Amino acid sequence: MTATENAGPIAGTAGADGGPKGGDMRSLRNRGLDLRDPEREAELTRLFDAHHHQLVRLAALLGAGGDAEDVVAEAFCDLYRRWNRLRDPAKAASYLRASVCNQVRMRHRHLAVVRRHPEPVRPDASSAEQEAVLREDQREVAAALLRLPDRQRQALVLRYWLDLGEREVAETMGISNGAVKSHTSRGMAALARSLEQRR
Amino acid sequence: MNEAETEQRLRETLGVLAAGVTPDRDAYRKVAATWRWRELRRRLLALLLAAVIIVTAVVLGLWLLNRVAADEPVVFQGPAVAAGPWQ
Repeated sequence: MTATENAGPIAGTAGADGGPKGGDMRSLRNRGLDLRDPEREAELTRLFDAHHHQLVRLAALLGAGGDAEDVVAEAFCDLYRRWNRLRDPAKAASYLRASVCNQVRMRHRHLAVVRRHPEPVRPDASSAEQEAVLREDQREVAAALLRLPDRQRQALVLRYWLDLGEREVAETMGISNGAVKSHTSRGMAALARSLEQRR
Repeated sequence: MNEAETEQRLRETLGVLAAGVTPDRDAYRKVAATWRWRELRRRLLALLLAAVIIVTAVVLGLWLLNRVAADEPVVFQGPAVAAGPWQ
């Protein structure tokens, strides 16, 4: 089912931050508080249809684990809020990718702080499922990828999974082309070293 | 292991990992509900802030007017000067 098919009235779903249920929203609309901006909604719906799946996969590959859907939802909400300030609507997809990358990096920082405290972090069920479908050599690559610093992992995923050019990777990560080259080559070298050691 | 081989293995692994991720089919409804709710909350907060500023300004003005004695000028200092061609 696509987002366009889902674009009808909201029914019975609370927002991620405890938003109103469908009935509440309908009653608000009846009272004349219709918040829909048709042009913005249509653009966001089109972007959602075109990029949602890919962004969830990107978030998962960057290490968001079970939070991948939430990370992508946050990116779309952020884009909706800033839509009128977006200088070039054609760059919306690039903005969404950058937003996902930043949020995954923030999530890793948060987890690093949590791990300093004695409270145990629950293992990620979705990543365990993913591990099961990998061959032994692919499992080694996945493990080595997870050990890389965030920036290097992002550069490799954007470059070799999304097949983005150096300039696009730089735009998405908010760094220079030279820094992208450096992160990519260091990441590849670390990956090769790690795989050699396991042989 | 050469770079081309590492790259090949990396692409394969990323492809398999990505194929294993199945996005939520109901995601659009949830996300759209969230962004509409946040927009409503943002507008209500802006409305509340505007109302607070206006009420504060009105209350402050009334309080100032109430403090001034009846025969004291409120806006201009000094004796009132009548202006007009009849002077």
